Amino acid sequence: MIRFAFKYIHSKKITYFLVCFIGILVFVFGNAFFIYQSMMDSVFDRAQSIYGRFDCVLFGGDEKLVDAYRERPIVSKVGVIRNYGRYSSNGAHITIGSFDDDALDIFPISLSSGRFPENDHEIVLEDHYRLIDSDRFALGKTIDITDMKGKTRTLRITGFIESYTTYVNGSLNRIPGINDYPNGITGSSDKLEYNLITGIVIGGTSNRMVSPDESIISLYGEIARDRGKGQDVELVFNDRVYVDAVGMYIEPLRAHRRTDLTLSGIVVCIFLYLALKYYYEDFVDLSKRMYMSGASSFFVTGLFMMVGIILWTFGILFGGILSLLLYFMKLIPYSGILPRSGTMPCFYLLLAGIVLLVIVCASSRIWDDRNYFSRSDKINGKSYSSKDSFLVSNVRKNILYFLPVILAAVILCSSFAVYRFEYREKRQLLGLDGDPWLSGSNYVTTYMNNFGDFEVYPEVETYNVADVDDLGRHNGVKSITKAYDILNTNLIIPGTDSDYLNYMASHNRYSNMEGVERNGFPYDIRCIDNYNYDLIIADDEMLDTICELNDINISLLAKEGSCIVFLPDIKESQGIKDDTDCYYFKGAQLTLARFRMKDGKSDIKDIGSFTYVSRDLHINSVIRHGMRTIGDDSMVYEADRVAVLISEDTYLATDLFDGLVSFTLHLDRNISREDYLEVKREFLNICHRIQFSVCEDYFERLAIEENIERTTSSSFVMLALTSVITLCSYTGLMILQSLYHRKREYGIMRSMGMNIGETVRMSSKEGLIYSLLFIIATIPSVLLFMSYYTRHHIGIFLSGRDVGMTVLIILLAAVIYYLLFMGCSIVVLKRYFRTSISQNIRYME
Amino acid sequence: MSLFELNNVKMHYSTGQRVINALNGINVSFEKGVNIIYGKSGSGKSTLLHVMAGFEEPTDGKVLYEGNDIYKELDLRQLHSSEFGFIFQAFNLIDQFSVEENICIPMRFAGNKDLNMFNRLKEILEIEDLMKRSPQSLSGGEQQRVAIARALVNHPRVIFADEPTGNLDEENSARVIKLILDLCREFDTTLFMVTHDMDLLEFADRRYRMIDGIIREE
Repeated sequence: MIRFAFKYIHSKKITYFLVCFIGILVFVFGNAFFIYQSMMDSVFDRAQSIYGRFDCVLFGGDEKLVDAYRERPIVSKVGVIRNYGRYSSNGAHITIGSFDDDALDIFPISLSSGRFPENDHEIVLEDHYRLIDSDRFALGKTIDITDMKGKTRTLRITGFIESYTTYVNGSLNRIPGINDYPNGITGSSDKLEYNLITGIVIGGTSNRMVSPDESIISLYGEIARDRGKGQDVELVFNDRVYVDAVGMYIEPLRAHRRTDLTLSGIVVCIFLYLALKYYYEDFVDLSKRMYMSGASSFFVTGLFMMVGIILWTFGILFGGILSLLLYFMKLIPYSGILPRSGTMPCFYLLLAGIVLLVIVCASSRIWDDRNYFSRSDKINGKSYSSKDSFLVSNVRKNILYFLPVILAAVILCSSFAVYRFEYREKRQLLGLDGDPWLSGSNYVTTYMNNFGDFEVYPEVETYNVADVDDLGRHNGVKSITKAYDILNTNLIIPGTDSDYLNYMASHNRYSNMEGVERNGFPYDIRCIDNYNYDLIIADDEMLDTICELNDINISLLAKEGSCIVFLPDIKESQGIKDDTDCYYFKGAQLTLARFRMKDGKSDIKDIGSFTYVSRDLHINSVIRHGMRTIGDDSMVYEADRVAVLISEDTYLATDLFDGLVSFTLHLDRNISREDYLEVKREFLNICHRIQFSVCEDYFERLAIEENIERTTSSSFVMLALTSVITLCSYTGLMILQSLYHRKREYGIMRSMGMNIGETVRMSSKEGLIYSLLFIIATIPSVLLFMSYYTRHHIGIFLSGRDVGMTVLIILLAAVIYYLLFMGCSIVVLKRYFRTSISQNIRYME
Repeated sequence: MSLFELNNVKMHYSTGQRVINALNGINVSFEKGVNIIYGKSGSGKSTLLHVMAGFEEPTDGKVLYEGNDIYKELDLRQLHSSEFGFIFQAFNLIDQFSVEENICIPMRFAGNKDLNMFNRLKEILEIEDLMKRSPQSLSGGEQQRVAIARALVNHPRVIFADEPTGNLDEENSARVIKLILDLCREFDTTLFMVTHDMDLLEFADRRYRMIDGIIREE
């Protein structure tokens, strides 16, 4: 190949052909690879038979809006749910929506018994109603439902469908795939636009549009109309509106990858071309003409690098505009232009290039001046002393030139690592982690602060605040959607999902399962099966009060209750004893009743009898100082909160009672920052270890996430590799220059009997030293930088995978660098040995 | 058999359109001893020395060393590491190595681990104190003495010296020449020295004059 390149290096046609050919190859194979990867992806399935399209379900909306959606090239099917609302039925609340055929097809509804409704006097309910009251909710029975205006209708129950809240949990924020239809789609009913299907909650299997009521749909429409050309509103649910800027969410990540991959390939080609061309032609001549020092030639190389980066940036912009054009022409179902598509790495590369250039210019000037003054009288003469070979071959001196390269490497690698963190962080904080469809998009304008009654704690970023009240106020998917939103940023305590907890425990994710003191902040987290207690959050004083007032045996509670007791600063002096009769308390009860028991029952097993549910557990402090009281007075604190997601069983058991058991942990705003940070750190530490709390199959979910993570990482690896190759091409040129300037030394050594083998060995050892220095200098710096950044700006610790990936990239860079060095050395040295010793020695004379 | 025999050796260089005939069909035999080649600048002295030393293959003709063509029948690497030593006008020490390392470079290539010669040369050339220093820090005379040591350290049979005093002052020139001659005689080494300094001719066993690429023995 090298010979071929040499042979035709003067033929521009062939060179350009090669560059284009390589670019096309990269493009074709890159796309083929990612399309293949997409097809293999578990999130990509037959339901999405048209590549890049998706089904959507609209909640309400007029025909115009529905038609508008149907015309969108990215939408394959539009389902509509109308008459969505909440009704009451003898105290029980039922949420009802009427599905059209497409909505039925899209929703993962499976009949467990009976049939779908055939007219608007029939209804299908979720299975859990039957569990709650099998006498009242049975096939063939009639129920009365009353709407908000007091109008009552009688409906006959024709069937039950499987509760799919579990399903919804597992499939939130991603396109429902084949794995989500284990029993197949039940199919549509017959033209039953107004059939009342179910009392189940309405949720987001459409994975894009989840809206609880028509006002939001209306808002959606208004925004869509206002935004007009090319502006789509993508996510609307509950009180939050996520507005997207430019057509996104179809294949954003993959488009991103394709764009980057393609352009990366072109960049590599450009550098390959420049490296060959300018080394073997103008570069050397230029060096001679300008009496160039090595540093001066670095300058030229740096300039080429800058040009390449600028080309890359423009290339990405150009590619994005092109894909946008194609998108509007409806030739492709997606738009590849994404604000974050390659711009961040480009920015970092540009930054690195500028830094590099400044350093190189400075060093160049220094070196040139130094040599000018030291041999000024010889510049115009023919002979040079041995000092002319100032671009020395030993490591000690070359390290001066190597420093900018190391610096650039540090910047590049760190940038990529940080970019990746930022990327991951944003996804997590938006609850989108695991969703490659959304993750690459330029979602999000959030209007979180203006909704609900939550407040933002000053130290907590907006996205870190979850509207937990909504969790209680709403139910089903919406609630869990919100819960999922906060899943990665707040404390999520699973309740009765002991399998999950066991799983977590078995994977050492709950290292503090039993009263381990961490960071000076002792917690006791316990998980016990069989009971419906979800969470107790208390400090020691509060627990003392609770115990005294209610004669509660904490240990028994923890032992027999299905709960997690999260006890800051718990003391053994609380008099916890086994076999003590106790009252039961659910967190929801604490607010109003102070642990009243339902119907006077004190049997801890009698969990089904609890009917009184409140939503908030207010604690004015969870740390060791300050007032600790329980009651209404303590609820007024303005504070940060930590959301708690309850178990589904609890939800099902309490849904009848107008509210979920949910908790809001209020931290006193006046607590010291250190304490606050300590608590926050602990929470973050825990919540980052808990990825998903309610899911039918944790392992499956984790496996999916693993795949997605891996898939996501690959694009970063590609980007990093591109940078590394770019860097290496620069370094390679530098070394070639170095070797070129060493021609005289090699000539002298040849005159003393050195053969080409010895020369190559010498050169390769030097390359090894450089590579080692590269590794030694880069890895600790990058890790330190990453560690600092992630710790202080993102608030998480480096994970093994992140470190591993970074180190791997750096090592790979070193290997590439070494191989490049070796390849260049051999090529150059062979050329030296083809010329006479005299010519080598007379170099620069 | 002569030590060196050159048969119709020609050397032409091309510099663009112009062709320079550095050597114009040289036919000469060289014997052991001190051979001095002199002539004006540009007469082809250095080129002749390079051709004889195996640094540059002639355009035409043969260079025989003890009856063998050095470019076709002999191993040049072997000759350079063990048989020949070269002293340059510009010293050509390698800056990246210390004085000691510079002297030892030929030993490494020849696989020579005998330090007797090395120690002896250090003593004779009075460079013992310079061993750890960088070549850049030495004076011209010192550098050339180091270069002489480097050329002789493998006990070569032939030394080529290309204007060894060209970059030295008078005092240092005399000292260097004396050292080279003394050492060659002591170690029974044949010397081929190129110079334009007529004063050095008195030390020669045989003198050769170069004029426009042609050599004549005098």
